[in-house]
Amino acid sequence: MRIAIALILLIALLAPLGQSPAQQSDYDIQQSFQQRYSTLRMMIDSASTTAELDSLGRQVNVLAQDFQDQREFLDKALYPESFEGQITSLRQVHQLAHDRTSMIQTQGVRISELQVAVSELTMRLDTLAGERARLFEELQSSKRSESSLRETVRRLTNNLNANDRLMFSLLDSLFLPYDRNLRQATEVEKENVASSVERANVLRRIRDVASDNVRFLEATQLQGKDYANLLDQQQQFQTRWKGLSEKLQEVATAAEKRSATATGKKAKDGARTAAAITTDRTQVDSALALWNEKLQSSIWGAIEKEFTGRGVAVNHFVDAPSFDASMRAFVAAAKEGQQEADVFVDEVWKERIDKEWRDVLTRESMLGKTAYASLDKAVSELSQKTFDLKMILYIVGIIAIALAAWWFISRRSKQSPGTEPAA
Amino acid sequence: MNKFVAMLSFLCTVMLLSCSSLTLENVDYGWPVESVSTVGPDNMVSEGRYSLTFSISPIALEEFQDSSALRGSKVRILRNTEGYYFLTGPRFKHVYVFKPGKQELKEVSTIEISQTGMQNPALNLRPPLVELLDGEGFRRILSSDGIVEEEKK
Repeated sequence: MRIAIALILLIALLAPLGQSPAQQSDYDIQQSFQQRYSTLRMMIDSASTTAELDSLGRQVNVLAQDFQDQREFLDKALYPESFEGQITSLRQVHQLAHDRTSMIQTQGVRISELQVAVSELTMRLDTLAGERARLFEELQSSKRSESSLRETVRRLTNNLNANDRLMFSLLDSLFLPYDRNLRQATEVEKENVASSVERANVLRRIRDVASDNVRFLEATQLQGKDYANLLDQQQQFQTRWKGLSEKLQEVATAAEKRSATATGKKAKDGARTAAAITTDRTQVDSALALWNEKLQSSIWGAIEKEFTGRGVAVNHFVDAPSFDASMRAFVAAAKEGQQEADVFVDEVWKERIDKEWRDVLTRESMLGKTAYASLDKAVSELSQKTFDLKMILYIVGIIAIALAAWWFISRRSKQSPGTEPAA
Repeated sequence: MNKFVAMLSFLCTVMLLSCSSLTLENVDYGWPVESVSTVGPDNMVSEGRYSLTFSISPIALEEFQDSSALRGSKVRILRNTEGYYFLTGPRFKHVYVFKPGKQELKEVSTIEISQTGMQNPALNLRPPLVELLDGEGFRRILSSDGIVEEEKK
């Protein structure tokens, strides 16, 4: 075996010696170089593994070595190209192909890792869904003490938050390999994402997140400060959904396109995936709109209860503009003496609205900081006026008492003339 | 008088020199590699790199006694450093040498290479000469006048 290998090596080494350079056609040398160059270029372009490309890289070196002696001739024969230029170009193409293939291979590994992550996340989401259902039952049975119910609400809130986080981790895992450049991803890759989205029931889960939040709002009585978190959560969810919705449309379109060109089961699957994604997207949009509507009505309803619960008759409000109008109407009426301002200012605005609800009301999706500050100033003026009237009353009272005392003393001194001292 | 003659002859020399045409010397016309062109259906040969186009019919008639004998076949052309065109091809018995003229290629010499015709000839530029190969061991060194060196194994 060793002898055979040695013989092969010897033949390979001696082979060039057998060829007399004088007996070679220059044209054949040029053609041979160009042919080998083109073949290598084609092989590099179609190579799909780094191992293949490593081997091709060695072949580029062999090509450069084989024609090194004809370098001067090839520089002329290949004009306007040159031997060095051709080899450099080949090496650059090889490097690019190597980088690309290496990235694809790494991405392939990453995709399989992410697929495992997707499965795990799906399982955790299912577990959370089970726990959430139990917590909802507990909350609705209302047979427990208030502290126990509070604890259930807290656990349910945490569960919903965890669900959101996991949901978007799941989505990130699905889109991560193509996230930077989904537009540059191939139609096949997009179609794969579409299938994964459908397989992991992503859109149903997103819709459930919105529905569960609506259910949660219906089942619980929350404090003013609790709503701030819910608002943030809803806003974040809506923003992320907006970005995701566009991507989903892109993968759905890709699945549809592929189904148009494919045949048989593949065509059916692609069309079904595209249709499912499109339908589910609409359902998620509706669920999110309902969540937002419910949250808003819940917040404004709870704020209104703060006034009506204390007997302050404010105009009914359902959103930020009507709330602002209602408050200003009350302040105007109080200034004209048509409404009692004390309870409104001291018990509701200062004690409840400013302490409990300011955080919620100052959110830009609600009243906003500027509008709240303006309203607060208007209410403060009412408080100032109330204070001024009281002060005047106090002062008038003191003066009246002082006058009464002076009148009483002076009268007593007039009524006792016989009390003059004896001579 | 002598001084006058010397002055006159100097002036005449200067005038003659200024009237003569400009000549660039040591020009290298050589193509680094021969051109292999296919004869078109109209018997025309078109060389792409140096934009040379001509009709091959007279050569076909000369070589094969048939003006269209070379239609579709390949011919090999090489220009040497002196500017002469060397032309041959498979089945040719000769190498034709031409010099360029005004819209013409004028035959300088016809070099007989083989009685039976070459199989697959190739022309290489080996300044100032041209090398002709035809298969294993067949080699001729040519000038525009004829064979300079022969090598046959």
